[in-house]
Amino acid sequence: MFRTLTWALAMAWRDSRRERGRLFLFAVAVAAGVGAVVAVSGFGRSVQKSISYQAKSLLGADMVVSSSAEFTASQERFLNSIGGEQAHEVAFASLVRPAKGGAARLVQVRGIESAFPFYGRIETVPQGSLDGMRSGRGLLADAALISQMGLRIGDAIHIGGLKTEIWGTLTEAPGEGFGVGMMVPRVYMTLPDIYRASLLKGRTMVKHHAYFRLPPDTDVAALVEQRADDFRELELGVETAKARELRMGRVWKNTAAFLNLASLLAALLGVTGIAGAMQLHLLGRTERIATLRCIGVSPSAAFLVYAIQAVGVGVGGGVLGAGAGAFMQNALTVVLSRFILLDVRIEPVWDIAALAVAAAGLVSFLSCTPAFIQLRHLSPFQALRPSVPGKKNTRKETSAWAAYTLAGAGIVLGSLLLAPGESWGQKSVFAAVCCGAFAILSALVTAGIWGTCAMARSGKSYAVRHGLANLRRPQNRSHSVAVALGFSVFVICFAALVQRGFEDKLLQPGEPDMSNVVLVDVRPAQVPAVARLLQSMGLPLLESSPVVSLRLADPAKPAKDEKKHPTSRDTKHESGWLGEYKATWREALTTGEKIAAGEWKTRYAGVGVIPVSVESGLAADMGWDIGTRLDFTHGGRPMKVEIASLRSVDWMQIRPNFHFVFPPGVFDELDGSFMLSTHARNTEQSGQVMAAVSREFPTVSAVDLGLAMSLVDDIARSVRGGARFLAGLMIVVGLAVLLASASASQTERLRECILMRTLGMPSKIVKTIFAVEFVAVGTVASFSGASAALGGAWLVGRYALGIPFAVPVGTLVAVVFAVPLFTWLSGWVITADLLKRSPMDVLRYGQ
Amino acid sequence: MSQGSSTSKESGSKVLLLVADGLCKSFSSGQAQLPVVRDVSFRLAEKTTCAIVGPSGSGKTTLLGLCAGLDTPSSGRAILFGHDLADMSEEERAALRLKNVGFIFQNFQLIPTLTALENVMLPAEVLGTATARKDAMDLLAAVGLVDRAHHYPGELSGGEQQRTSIARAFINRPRILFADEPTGNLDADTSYSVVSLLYQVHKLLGTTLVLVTHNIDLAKAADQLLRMEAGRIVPDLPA
Repeated sequence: MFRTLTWALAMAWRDSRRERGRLFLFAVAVAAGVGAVVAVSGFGRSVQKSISYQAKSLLGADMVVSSSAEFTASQERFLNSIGGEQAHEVAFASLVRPAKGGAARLVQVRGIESAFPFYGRIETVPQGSLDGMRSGRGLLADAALISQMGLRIGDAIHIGGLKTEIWGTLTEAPGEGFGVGMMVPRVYMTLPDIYRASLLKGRTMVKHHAYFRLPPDTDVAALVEQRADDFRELELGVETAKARELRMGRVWKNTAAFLNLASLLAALLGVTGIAGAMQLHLLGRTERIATLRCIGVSPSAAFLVYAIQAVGVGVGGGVLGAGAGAFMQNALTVVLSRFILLDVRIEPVWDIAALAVAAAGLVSFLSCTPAFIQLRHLSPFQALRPSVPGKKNTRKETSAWAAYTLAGAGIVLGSLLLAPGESWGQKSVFAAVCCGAFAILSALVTAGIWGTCAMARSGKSYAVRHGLANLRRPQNRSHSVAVALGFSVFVICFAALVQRGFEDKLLQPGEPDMSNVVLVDVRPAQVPAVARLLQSMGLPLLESSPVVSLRLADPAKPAKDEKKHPTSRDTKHESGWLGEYKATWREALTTGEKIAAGEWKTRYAGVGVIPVSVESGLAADMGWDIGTRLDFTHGGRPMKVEIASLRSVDWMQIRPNFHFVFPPGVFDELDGSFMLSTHARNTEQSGQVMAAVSREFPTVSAVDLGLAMSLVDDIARSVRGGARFLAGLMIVVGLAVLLASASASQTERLRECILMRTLGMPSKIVKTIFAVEFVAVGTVASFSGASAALGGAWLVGRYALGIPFAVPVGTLVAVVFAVPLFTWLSGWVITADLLKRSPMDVLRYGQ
Repeated sequence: MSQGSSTSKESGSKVLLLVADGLCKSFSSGQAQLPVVRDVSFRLAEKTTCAIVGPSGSGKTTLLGLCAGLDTPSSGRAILFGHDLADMSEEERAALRLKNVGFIFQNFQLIPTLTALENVMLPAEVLGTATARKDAMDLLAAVGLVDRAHHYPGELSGGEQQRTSIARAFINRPRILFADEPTGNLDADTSYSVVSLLYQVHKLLGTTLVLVTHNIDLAKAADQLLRMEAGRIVPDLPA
């Protein structure tokens, strides 16, 4: 056995002579796909590990307790009873404007005590600015804010009613996440400065945090669990470092899903794309295998030789790809840097690389089983008479079916092995989506080739007819090539379409009756004055929504089926996010709302249970339904509430949206604050509004949603950069598959070329035929990929993201035309040599 | 049953290596069955030579393949070294060929990616012969190709390729050698040298030789002559 194996290894290597260029091409196709998987999976793991390593640094503490109001005496007593060290912080949104004049900007102000952070560091430029800030000399601001406002370190700045100085640039601070949470620039001040300047006066949207460093042996999760009732009764939210880690991990996982899917597709394309070419390569060995069998090589030994070649291509490509993937992880760090505000430490991912290599070898082998079965049934007599018809028997036909089943199973198994996910269930979903996408694009390509060939029959030009008919040339692999290239088109176009949808939704100035500037924290008494200010600037007051803060008195109780919603319990207990809500009251629905169930109540008579309309997504998360009763507290006053209707809310509409809407008659206007909205014609006018509001009403914050969303767009671009990166890899896969397939069918092409020239056809026509063929493959790939992307983006936009379907015509046209151009150029390179060959070659070749 | 006609210069006292008994072979052609070999029987003793002649399409090569265990008969038996080939598995037939059977093909059938030396070594390597390389070099020297040992088949002339093929056929010292039109692709001078080489080795090693050929001079030099027409062995015409 060992001798047979060593002989087979040596024979496989020797047999590959003169074919190694082709086999290397096959391996490159595999490598590009495997590289994508290793890069994305490895990078994802590095991000997760970085989150885990930096969990405490990210929070800056072991635990943070939050309240939407200043801590009361009873709350303080409770906090002190927890033990450990404490550092307090307040966080709120405010407008800042340069003292020398200029536009105001919305910022997130964090007022901290000196002890914060307990873990991690606040990094500044110049170093030591933190000490200056702590000694009350000024504030620290994000570099982006300083540059956007045209300021320098040392310049004076107004924040609310306080005039202070920019003492340094903030580069890194604990307590931040990644993603859209980072879209508002930060300003750090000392807590005493904030109180001294009365910056909190009149503000309702202020978060008070108490950061804790607990003794090293404290089980933080157990502590939170033990004192859950106290947290609830005192209306305090709590988040541990572990909970922050899980939350950030979830954010990353959701975002990484698309990248993972694209990389998995690239890997499968790489392996299966060259499967056809590899099978051709193996079937081209028929005579050799027959000869080996004649001289006494057993069928199993002959099979072993070529199985080693197939596995070798997969494993070789896998190793190459794993190596490249390790380097590409660093590239992803750069590409996604805007999205991931973490110090990601790239580490070797040997297990992922080993799994990817093994999967590549396995899928490569299994996808060649149809060829292996043919070779296994090869009669040695074919060495004497190659034209002898093959034996036809039931066993062979059964084997062929088994081979195709195995090949399919190989693709599914490869998907499962390479799919990301912590459980086989998650992996199965990924594999199913991947195989589904593969099947859909494959069907589109089949239809495209069928349609193109149908056109060929009715064409007038011989060269065009012949070129299009070549798509169905035996062993041409047009389908594999078009599917591989089609996927790269799909990924590029899909990412562009989704981003465009976001842009259209978020960044367009929109109709004059659409809000794009929102004023928050407007006290009831200020509403008329703010409205007059807007009017004086020629701006409409589009909406005026009263806002009240409510707290679920017993958040655990109302959930009907919490087992189905395990995350809601986590969130309730650990982040406190669901404990407090901003609610409003009004008579009518807005244009962004629809009643999904129940009845919309327009008035509350003041008697009985209070009806409320709940946003349907939140209700689904919490397991609430029509009739579910909730216990709220408002300013310490208990409220018994019953869900009367569920509303679907278009959160992407730029307007004040709320989870809970009450009918008029429940609250008094003086109970809370107001949120006003207006429409600024351009960024200049929105800047003027913000500056005026900041000057006249220091406690009111104005949010330019267009400006804020441009930061979302920036992050979306970063993620799209990742998608483009993977699409680039897919193009490499497509190119390798194209070259490998063309190389495998080169013999057929050469014969055809020489025959046409022997028959007297001018080279120009032969060139045209080949050009038409390659352009047609690229065109089918382009249109299939673009069609799939259009359909996919429409579905995702309509049913998942709620964004409009908008087509970035320029990008789509560029991609759709670039791919045929690319295939034409590749084809030109591939066939250039054929056209130089003498017609006499056909005779020699035939011999 | 048609009896093999034949001229037997050897006495029947020698050990029989090959017995063909009522061999028939048909190939499918669409729905129809196309008979290629029809009820052929003959015997072959060790250390003899046998030539199979006949026009194209008469079933010579198919008969050769059946006798060598490359294919299985539709009916009848081929017994090689006392083994009924139809009763053996593919693996067993391969092992039998590896140790006892040599092959020479009309189109040489050298593996294009192996050098002449590696082609010759191939059967010995599969058999696990420790001296495969040395034996192959000796054989290449014997056929006058030692200086072409490291050339690939594409770099050799037709005659050189066939001589390499002959060296490969003898590397495992087979008891029987099947040659399918070994001079079919060679010019007259080269054919003569190849045929001479074959007979020299036969005499030297005592290998039984079965030749399929169109060359009547080559056939006449054989101990036994089988003339085939339309899949059957027909009586040899008087000289």
